[in-house]
Amino acid sequence: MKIVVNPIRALSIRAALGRFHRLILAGAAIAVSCLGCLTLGVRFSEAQEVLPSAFEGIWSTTVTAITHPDWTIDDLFACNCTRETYEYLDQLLHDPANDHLSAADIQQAIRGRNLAAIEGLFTETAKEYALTYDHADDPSIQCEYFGAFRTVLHNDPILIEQYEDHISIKGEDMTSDRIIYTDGRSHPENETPSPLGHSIGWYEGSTLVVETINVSANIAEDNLPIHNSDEASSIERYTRSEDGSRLHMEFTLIDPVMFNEPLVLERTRLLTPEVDLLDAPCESISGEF
Amino acid sequence: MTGKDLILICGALLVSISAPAHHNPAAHYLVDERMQITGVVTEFRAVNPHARIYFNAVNAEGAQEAWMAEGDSIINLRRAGWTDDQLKPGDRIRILGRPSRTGSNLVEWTFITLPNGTEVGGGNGQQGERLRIIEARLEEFRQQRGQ
Repeated sequence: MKIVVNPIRALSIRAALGRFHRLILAGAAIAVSCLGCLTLGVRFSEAQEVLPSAFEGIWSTTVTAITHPDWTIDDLFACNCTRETYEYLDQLLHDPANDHLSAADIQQAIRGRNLAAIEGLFTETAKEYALTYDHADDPSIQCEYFGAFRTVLHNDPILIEQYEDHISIKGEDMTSDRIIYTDGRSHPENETPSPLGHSIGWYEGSTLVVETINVSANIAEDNLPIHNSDEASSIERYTRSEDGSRLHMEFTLIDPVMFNEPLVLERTRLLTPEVDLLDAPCESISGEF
Repeated sequence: MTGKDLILICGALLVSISAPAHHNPAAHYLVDERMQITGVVTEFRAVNPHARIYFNAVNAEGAQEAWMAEGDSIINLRRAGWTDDQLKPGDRIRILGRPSRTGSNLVEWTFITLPNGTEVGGGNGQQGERLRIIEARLEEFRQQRGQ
């Protein structure tokens, strides 16, 4: 079964929800922010005044910058993980009773725990979808660009540029370039969902908050796997570490069709000014030869 | 000497872990199985979403077959030091990787061994190399914590 939610139905639901939907988003944002920003033993700043260019630069994950010396041992096992998964990782790494575990053992354990945490939030629709989804149907195999959520959760480096009225986030190859409006505008009403949806941002102390709505049904993360309906919205919260070298992201997906509760995933990137964004042609893959 | 050996084995390199570059390998490959194959490169294509190696291999009956191997995105391979002519026609290579789920002559490589014995990674997500680095850092971390 495909997650193709009738756009008319989705729009009517969204219109009916109206302010209630916004309240859900705001409530989720407040709830997830209460989880705190003390992540993986690195202090992240919440109280400082944000500088105009606080988030600018090229930020990398361990997937493309594994040899960077500033990764902590926790970082090296990090993923788009739930808070519960990170707590489990902390036990595995820091309790000497687990020193018999190899890196592969720990990676596998973390992956299993993270999958269980995510699948535990699945609605019946999501469970049914997961049973029938074929990874060969991933449209990016045919060179279709990622939508908003998959772009946010992807591993490749990102370039953040801050302007007076918007923020630009650019990625590499299959990811999509994003514009986040920070000029105080609201989301447009009654807009048809699109792969990137519509994003607005604001600052809460030194945290950049991004709200995205009107995203069409798509793959949000194919390895976990997470799929979103066109009723999904998200809140991203970006906080830079006090020394400026790390960017912590807390991503909350609110999707009443696919998840019984907001799904919260976290990840940290490193500032990597030595990295360039690269580009190359895409050639689709058939899976046959 | 060449051909294909389908091997079902366990071990650190064979665990289906971590995040590939773009796509879940289950799209086209049997993620829990591994095969080895030796062949001669006919073309290396430096493209996304995955770089490709076209090569010829000799099957168990002694006949030559055309194969294609997929690795990481060329972007990530360049970042890891690969060049767009990393492999040239005529290069003899041995590939360890995942076999096609449809039985096609496809393999998703994890490691490639060159004729001089040099092992280059470059598989989807470069998981093999990454795991080795993490394993070394983990050992170092445990030693320091124990001091």
